[in-house]
Amino acid sequence: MVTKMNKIKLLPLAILTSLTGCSIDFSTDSDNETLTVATQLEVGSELCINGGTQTLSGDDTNDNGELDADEIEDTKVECNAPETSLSSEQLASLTNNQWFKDAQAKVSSSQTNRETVAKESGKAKNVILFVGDGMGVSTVTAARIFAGQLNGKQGEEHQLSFEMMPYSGFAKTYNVDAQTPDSAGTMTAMISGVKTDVGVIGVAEGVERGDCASVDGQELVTALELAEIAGKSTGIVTTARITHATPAATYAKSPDRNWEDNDDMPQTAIDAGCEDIAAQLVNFEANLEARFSGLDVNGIEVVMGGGRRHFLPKDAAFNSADAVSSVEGDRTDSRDLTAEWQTQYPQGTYVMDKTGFDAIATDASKVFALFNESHMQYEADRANDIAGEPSLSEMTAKAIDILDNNDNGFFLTVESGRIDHAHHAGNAYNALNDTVELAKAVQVAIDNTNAEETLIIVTADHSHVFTIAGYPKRGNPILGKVVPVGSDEPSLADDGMPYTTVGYTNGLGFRDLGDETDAEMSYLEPAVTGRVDLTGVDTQAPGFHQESLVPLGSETHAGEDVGVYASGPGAHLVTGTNEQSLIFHVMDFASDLVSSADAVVTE
Amino acid sequence: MKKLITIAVMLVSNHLYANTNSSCVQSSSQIKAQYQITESQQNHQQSRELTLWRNGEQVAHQSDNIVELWQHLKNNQIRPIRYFTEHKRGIEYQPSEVTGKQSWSAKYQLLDKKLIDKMKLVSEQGQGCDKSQLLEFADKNIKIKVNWLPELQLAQSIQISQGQYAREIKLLSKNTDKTLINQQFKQWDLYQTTDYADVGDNENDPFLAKMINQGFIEHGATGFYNQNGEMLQGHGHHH
Ligand SMILES: [Zn+2]
Repeated sequence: MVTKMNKIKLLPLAILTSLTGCSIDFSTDSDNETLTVATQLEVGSELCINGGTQTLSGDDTNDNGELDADEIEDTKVECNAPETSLSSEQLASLTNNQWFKDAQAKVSSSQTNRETVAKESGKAKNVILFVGDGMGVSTVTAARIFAGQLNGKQGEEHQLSFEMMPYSGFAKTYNVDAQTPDSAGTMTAMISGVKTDVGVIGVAEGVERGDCASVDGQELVTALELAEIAGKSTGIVTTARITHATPAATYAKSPDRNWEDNDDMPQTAIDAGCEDIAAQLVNFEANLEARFSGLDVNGIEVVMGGGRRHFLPKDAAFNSADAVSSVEGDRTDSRDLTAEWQTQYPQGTYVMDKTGFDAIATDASKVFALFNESHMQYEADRANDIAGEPSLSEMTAKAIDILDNNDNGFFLTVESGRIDHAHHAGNAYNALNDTVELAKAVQVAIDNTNAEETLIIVTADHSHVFTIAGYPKRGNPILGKVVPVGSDEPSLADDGMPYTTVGYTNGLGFRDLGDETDAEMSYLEPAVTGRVDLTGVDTQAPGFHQESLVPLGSETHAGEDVGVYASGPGAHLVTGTNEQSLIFHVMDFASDLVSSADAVVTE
Repeated sequence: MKKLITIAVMLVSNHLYANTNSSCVQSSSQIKAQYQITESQQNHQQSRELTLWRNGEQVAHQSDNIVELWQHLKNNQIRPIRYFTEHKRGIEYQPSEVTGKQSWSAKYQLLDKKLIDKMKLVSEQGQGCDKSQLLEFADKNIKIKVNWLPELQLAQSIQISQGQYAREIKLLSKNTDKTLINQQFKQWDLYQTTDYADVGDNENDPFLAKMINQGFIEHGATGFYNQNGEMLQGHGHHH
């Protein structure tokens, strides 16, 4: 190999061009020797990605025995053929990279999951359905970052408990009559396998909202009812009122989600024989037995949530120690449903505060817990509750402790009900904080059950118009203002003002319910349209409410798909983009709910 | 002069918090007090009415179409309810949906207790429940004159001037008829109420749909004052 490369001086490109453009034929000068210099090109070189040879030739016009730059007449490049195999050196830049390694490991664990997941039906002795009310995809992403940052990480790389589940897919959330859905129609789809109208509970689309008579023949059967009939233990846990749409869809049939107690119903509906949602919960066992001949079930084992007011008479004498209103109860039919429940289940435990909750024995036969007059507190506000409340994860742990005493298994629904409310108020802090608590509750369920016999599904009923926008740098506080890559100062918009990463498309918009007494009345103020100068505002404070575009008195649900996450037997069916009603069918397949219940009824 | 003021303040405190006549306090905890509020700025003047209702641990401020009602909770939090009298509907808030610090006394007696505490007693007359005091406060921004009924914890008149702006709140009448007051609170309690948290899920309810789409721009006539004599008001954002 001729190595004269070091003698070739690089000439400015212009001169080379003028040389090659020259029409004088130097080769006719027979006095000069023709020189050829070949150079090896490295793998990855600019001329040849796989390496090769460059050959330079020309006449030695100055007779110095070397090919000088101005003597080059011809340049040939021959690239090596593409490699037929990759050496470990060639892949080193990839295989030593952590992102590469992590994803490679994930592929291998996914492959294992695919091989080991129980694909036959009926392998799930237990089923737990977690619902984050209003927990759309953007909420999950932001909550993941929020949780990671609370743990001192940058955040984006964090994974919530349910995001580590092996299977996931999407659910189309629309109701039969609505592009953007509500909890009543969506939870009915998930728990009964039938899509229905907005605002109705446990009844098919043939119903007319608010029309008692139209319920006839439209009543659906729920997964919780099937599990009850099949002899499993059953439970409902929520941070909302237990009579609120999502939990209600597991046990009630109502043409209106708002018929939570008798006073919420038109007299005509009561006269026509419709029963309010609270009464349906307490009468669950009797109602179910009346529906299927010869059936004998033992009722729901665990009921935990808020909504005491719908179970108590409108009479201050029935106020609990936790009362907020001057008269806690709302019922105008003088019925005390908590007492009726206790009469029905003398061995059961009724509690209304944290102390009562802590005292519940894990071998309790039945628990009825109503921790608040209305919805339970946001996780961040629990300390402010008068009589004290357990967290969603504490309730989940207790519920599983009680439910798993049954050899036939159990069916449990757990709802984080207030992600939705925080979003409606335009307050991202509480929406994300409650989502983090839901993730904690899911982890509790994973830790306290046998993965080989427990199907766990985590999903949302619908999304919200909550966005993650702008170009914040990695690790920027998710509730903070947008600070761009390479800067410590917030980006300014065209109006010269900073803006937050998270925001809402509609709703009440900016308000800052901090500690300042001046802001005391701001809850009464109309929607704030347009932009506000956030320069001096702590947008990460719990009382900060994000800006919005369309001024509405309440932020709204959104119509895009929601994520569905699953682990355990049958979880492999949670894949792709499906109607939300698929969730019931996955649970039914995994736990043989319909066939086991049918075997009992036809006995 | 300085010594005199100190003594006067001590006298006020004594009268307010030590020697309160128990029968007066009882009648002051259930009261309906009608006020006229007159605001003037240069040549403009406008008047409106505000009724202060007390019923134990509940206080209401009633104006034309709106009643702001506050419940004083066992843990000292304040829970607001807003009634729309024309619609016979109400929205119930949770303390956390409002804000951290709230002044119960500012709602109960229109003037924050801490403001009363730091006012100067100018004169005093009358006896028992009818005892009245003239209190004054001034700093470089604001001048406040209050005719105060200490035994009833009720203002007979409040005059506030702040540069060109002046505001006068005059007690027109007071009524301690328990039946009347109980009835009024009961009537409000019978209105159909909705949790603020539930508004967003009720777009099929015409009243709440209006609230969702247009918000509620009707304002209450609430006018009460924090410890610095600043008005706490529903309109305009104070930043
Ligand atoms: Zn909602």
